[in-house]
Amino acid sequence: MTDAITIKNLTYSYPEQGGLFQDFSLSVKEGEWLAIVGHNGSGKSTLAKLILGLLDFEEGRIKVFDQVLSEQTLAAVRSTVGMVFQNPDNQFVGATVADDVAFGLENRQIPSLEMPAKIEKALKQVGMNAYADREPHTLSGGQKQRVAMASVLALEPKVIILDEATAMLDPEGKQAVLQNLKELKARYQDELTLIMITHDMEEAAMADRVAVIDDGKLIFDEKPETLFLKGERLRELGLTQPFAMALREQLGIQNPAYQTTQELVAWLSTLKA
Amino acid sequence: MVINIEGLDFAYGAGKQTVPVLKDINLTIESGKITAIIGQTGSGKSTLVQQLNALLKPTAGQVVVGEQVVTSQTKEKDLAPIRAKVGMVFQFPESQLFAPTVLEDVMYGPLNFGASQKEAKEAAEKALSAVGFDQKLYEQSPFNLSGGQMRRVALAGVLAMNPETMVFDEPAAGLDPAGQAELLQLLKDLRDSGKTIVLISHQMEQVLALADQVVVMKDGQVAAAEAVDTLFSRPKAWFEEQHLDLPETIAFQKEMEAAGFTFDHLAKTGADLAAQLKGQLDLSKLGGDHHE
Repeated sequence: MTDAITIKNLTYSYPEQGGLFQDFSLSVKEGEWLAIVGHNGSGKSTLAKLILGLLDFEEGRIKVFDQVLSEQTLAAVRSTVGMVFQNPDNQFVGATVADDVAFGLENRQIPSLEMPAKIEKALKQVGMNAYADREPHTLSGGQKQRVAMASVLALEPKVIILDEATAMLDPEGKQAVLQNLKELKARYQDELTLIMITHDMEEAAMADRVAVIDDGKLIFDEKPETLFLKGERLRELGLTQPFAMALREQLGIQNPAYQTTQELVAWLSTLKA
Repeated sequence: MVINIEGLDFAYGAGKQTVPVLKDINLTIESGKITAIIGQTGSGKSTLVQQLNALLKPTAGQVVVGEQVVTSQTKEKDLAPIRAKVGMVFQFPESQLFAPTVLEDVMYGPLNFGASQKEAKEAAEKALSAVGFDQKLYEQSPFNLSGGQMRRVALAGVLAMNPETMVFDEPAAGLDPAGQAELLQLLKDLRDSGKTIVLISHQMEQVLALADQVVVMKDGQVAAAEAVDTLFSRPKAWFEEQHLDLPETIAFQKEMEAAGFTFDHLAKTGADLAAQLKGQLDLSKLGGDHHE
């Protein structure tokens, strides 16, 4: 399978604080769902900005499908990769929800006759079609993030990066966004590559693969099921372990298999004295 | 200082255009404790806490803050002492930082309440040290700080006014697990230093770990107001009715109870839950090489 994103031997330093990535490599396959996790300041959001060409790096190469990121390919890369940011309140420009989705399309010079259908399709995909005429500020945080996602979807990107897109939402809003992501992935399958930057392990559990980053270094790169068995190491990295796995460790029972909460309850029930 | 809410109704707007938000609220916010206010989005939590420092005044009924009574008739000029006693830390408070340096930002509140430069500086330094902020960064621009540091500066800004009660709206939102843990410890430290803390939170783990008392809001009314252990001893179905999640530890305990395990008390931590479960498991059923 082709790589959607290839980062090779990347070196990047913060303008003031100094070195972050040194000879960093990571690739994401087409159609893959990758979670990038790490504590605040680990470099995970910076990585997203580097992929989008929002920051300049010193050495190395970033490739988005067959385009090597450079000034010449910047526009092409940004039309391939869409990004949803953390703060639902900083992403709106339009007077209505539909205007907001239209804004991105106008920037791409999509003929205005084609726009209504594209807007409707995008809003439908996030379950926000009924809100097309609403003013964005009247929406809840979760609804705003779904509209932000619709604005990205309308441009038909092959890759969507979500940078802590649920961190500022209440549990209900968060579940609505995550459910929506699952539906999108199920609909587009290999045509949509998802990169989810998060420190929430419940979200990371949804991914096919998790990359753990600490101070610009790739510490783990594996399936969530095996990563979640590494409780102590995760805590050292300022991350948490899913509840069931932490509890099993505390019970002092060794079991090489990952278990969800429901699975652990069922399994412990068979061990009842 | 105790805050009493007595027969409070509140509606936004006036005349025929009113939207009722809070209905017949009777509550006591106890001094020196952490009271968590929980409930679905739109249940009235934020509107309720704005009554505590008279940012909003009751439509009917009254709020008694220490000695002072606030009703719909209370004049704006009489509210200043209440605002000084009850400090509000809104969601994402770092978005309200504005001064060129950290120290000046924190001094702004005390200066505004009539402190001299010297007093304001002392209050700011004390508050910054209470939130564990590095002294070397006092002259930095607040905008060069990390998210967690910015949030501390914003908290210090409220703390510098030395309110008796502090109200926090989702104080740990958006921080990573380490940042959240530090912030929650800070709230405990503030309580232990004698402050009354009111906390709005959607994070049930936080409520369980921190709160002494919990107020559950539903559709603008109080659905429950009780000690945290009493609340989480309620059946799972009750929480579903309120559209509230249970903390993972509690949810797990309830599942195990349904499977026939017994517990002598509510487990607040995974370690406590594990300790109570251990004696009830027969690990020999696993075969030799699975257990320690």
